[in-house]
Amino acid sequence: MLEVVHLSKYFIMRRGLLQYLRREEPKCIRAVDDVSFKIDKGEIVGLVGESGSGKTTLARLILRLLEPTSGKIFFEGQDILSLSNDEMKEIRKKMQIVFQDPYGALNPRMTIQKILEEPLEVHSLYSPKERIDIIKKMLKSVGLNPPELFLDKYPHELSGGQRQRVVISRALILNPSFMVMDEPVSLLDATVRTQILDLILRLKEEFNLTYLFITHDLALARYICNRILVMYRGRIVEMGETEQLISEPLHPYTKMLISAVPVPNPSIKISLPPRASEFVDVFTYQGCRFCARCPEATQLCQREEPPLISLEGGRSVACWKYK
Amino acid sequence: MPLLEISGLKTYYYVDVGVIKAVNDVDLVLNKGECLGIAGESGCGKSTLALSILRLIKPPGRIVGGKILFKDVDLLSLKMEEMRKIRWHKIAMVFQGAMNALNPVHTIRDQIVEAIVNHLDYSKTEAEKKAAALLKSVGLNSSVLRSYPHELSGGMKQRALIAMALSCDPEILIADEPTTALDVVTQAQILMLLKDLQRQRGLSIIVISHDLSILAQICDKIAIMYAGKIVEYADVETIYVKPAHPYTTALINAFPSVRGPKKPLSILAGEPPNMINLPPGCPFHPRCPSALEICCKVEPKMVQLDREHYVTCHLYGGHARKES
Repeated sequence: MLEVVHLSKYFIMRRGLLQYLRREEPKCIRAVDDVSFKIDKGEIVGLVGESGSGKTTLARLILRLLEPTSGKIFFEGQDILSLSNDEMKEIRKKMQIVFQDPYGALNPRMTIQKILEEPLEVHSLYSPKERIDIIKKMLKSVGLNPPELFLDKYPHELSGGQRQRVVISRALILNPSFMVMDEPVSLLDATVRTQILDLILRLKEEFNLTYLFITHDLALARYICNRILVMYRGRIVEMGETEQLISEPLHPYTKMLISAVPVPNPSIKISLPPRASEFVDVFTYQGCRFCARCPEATQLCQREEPPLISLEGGRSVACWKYK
Repeated sequence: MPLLEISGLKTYYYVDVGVIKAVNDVDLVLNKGECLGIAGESGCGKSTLALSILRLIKPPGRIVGGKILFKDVDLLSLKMEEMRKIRWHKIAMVFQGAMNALNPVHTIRDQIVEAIVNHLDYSKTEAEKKAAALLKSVGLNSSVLRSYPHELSGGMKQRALIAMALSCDPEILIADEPTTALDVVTQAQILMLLKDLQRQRGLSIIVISHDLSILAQICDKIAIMYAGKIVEYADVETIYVKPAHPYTTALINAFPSVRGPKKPLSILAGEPPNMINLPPGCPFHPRCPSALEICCKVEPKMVQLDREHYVTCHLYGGHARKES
C-alpha cells in the first residue's frame, strides 16, 4: 500500500554572519536519513522512538506536507512525489493524519459541524444537506452520541477525549484508506486513552484502514501494532513483528526503550543502562549514531555506521553485533 | 511520626453555576522520608489538593474546612506572613508543565538565584554557588546556568525546576505530573532522580499523576482519588496486588504493560462525573462494574481493611458486607 524508498530529509541550519565570513559549511540535521520500509494493506505499523528521533518528520514527508531531500514514496503504486498539486489533492483524500494535541488541532472559533464540514467543502463533495447526514453518521461512529448534541458545540466545551474523537472523525470523513496517527493518545488520561485506543482499533475494521501509529511508548505500540519500526536520530535501527521485537529486542536502543517503560507493577522496576543519558552531538554523523549512549559500543561502532541488516523472520537491525 | 497530616480538608470553587467540591473531606498522611502518590483522572481534584497544602488556592476557590498539620502546626491557621516561611522553605512544589513554568527571557542562573535570594539570607555570589551545587545534585552540568530555557530539552527543564524547588532545602517536595509530556527515557531518568533525592536527602515526596505505572515505580504509599475524595489508600504493593476499590482495579487494568504476557486492556467506560452535579450515593456508581443497589442511594464511608489499607466502597462495609 505504501512504500518508502531511501527517503531523506536534511534540515540545513542558518549560518550566522561570522560563520558566513569564515566560509564554514552550514550545519545540517539529518531528521530522516535513508529510510526504507513498506506498509501492507490492513496493517498497523508502529513508529517508535524518543522525541527528536524524526518520527513526525517522517510522517509529514509521507503525507507530502514536507518535501524530502531525496528518496521516493509510493502510495498505492503511485510515485506521489512526481504528482502535481491538483493530483496530490486527490491523493490527500486517501491519506489523513490525526495529530497529537487535540487541544491545538481544532479551530476554537468553529463549531464541531463547521470543523467536520470543512474537508468536504475543500474537496467539494456532496450537497450541503447530504453533508449534515454524513457528519452525523461520522460522529456516531466515533462514539459521540447523540450527534445532534455536539453539532453546535465549540471545541472548548468538550473534554480532551471527546476532542480527540472529533479530530479522528474529521480525518475519517473523506473516507481515507491510510491514516497516520501521531501520538494520538499521549496527552490523554489513562482511562480515556484505552477508550480512544479501542475506538482506533474498531474504526480500522469498520472502515478498512491501514495505520502508521507513532508513539514513544512501546507498551502502547504493543497493544496496537502488528509491526514496529524503531527510529533513532533519523534512522530505522530495528524492524520486526511486535511480539518478537518486544520479547527479544536486538538493538541496544530498543532494549533501552523497553527497560525505560514503567510497568504497573511495583515489583518490576524500571532501569536504564549505563551511559543512557550521555550527551550526544547532534551534528556529528560518524559511526553508529547510538554509540555515545550504547553500553555495548566497540571501536568499529565509533568508526563506521552499521547498515540495516535483514535477519530471519522478517526482522532487520542496524547494529554491528549482528553482522 | 506523620510529617504532614491532612484531615477533613475541603476546598470548594464557587463558580456561577454552582459549587465545585474539588477536594471534599480528604484525610491523608505523609510520613517522613516517604513517597506518597496521588492518582486519579483529570478533574478529580489532585492538583487542587496539592495547591491547598501550600495554600495557593485562588478565588473563586476557597479552603472551607479541615486541618493541614505540618509538624503539629495547622497550616490553615497561619497568617499569610507565617505561611510564606513554610512555602518553599519547608514545602516546595514542582508545577505541572515543565515547558512553561520557566521564564523564557531569563537564564537558568537568574531564575534559581532569584528563588534563593528571595527566600534565604544569601548574597548574590553565595546564591550563585548554591545554584551550581543544586544543578549538580539533579544531574545537570553547571554550563546549564548560562542557558535560556529554550536551549534546554524538556528533561533538562524539569531537572532545573526540581533544582529550583530544592533551593531552600525543603522537607516536602510536591511534584505535580512531573513526567507528563516527556518521552519514556527522559521520564525514567526523572523518576530515578526523584527516588535518589528521597533516599539521599531524606526528602518526603508527594507525586501527583494520572499514570499508575509511574507511581508504581517510585511511591511507597498510594492514594486513589475520585470526584474529590480518597477512595482507596494503601501501600504500593497492596494497591497493585490486592486492589479493593473497583475504580482502582479499573485504573490498573487500563495500563498496557511491556513486560510479561500480553493481557487485554479493560476499558472503563464513561467520563469522570460532573463535579457541580455529582450523582447521588457513591459518585463512581454509574461507571462501576460491581455497583449494588445501595451504591446509588447512600454515599459509602471509608473503612479500614488492614493496618494501612483504607477503602471507600459499599462492597467492604456497612449494609452490603461481602467477603473481600
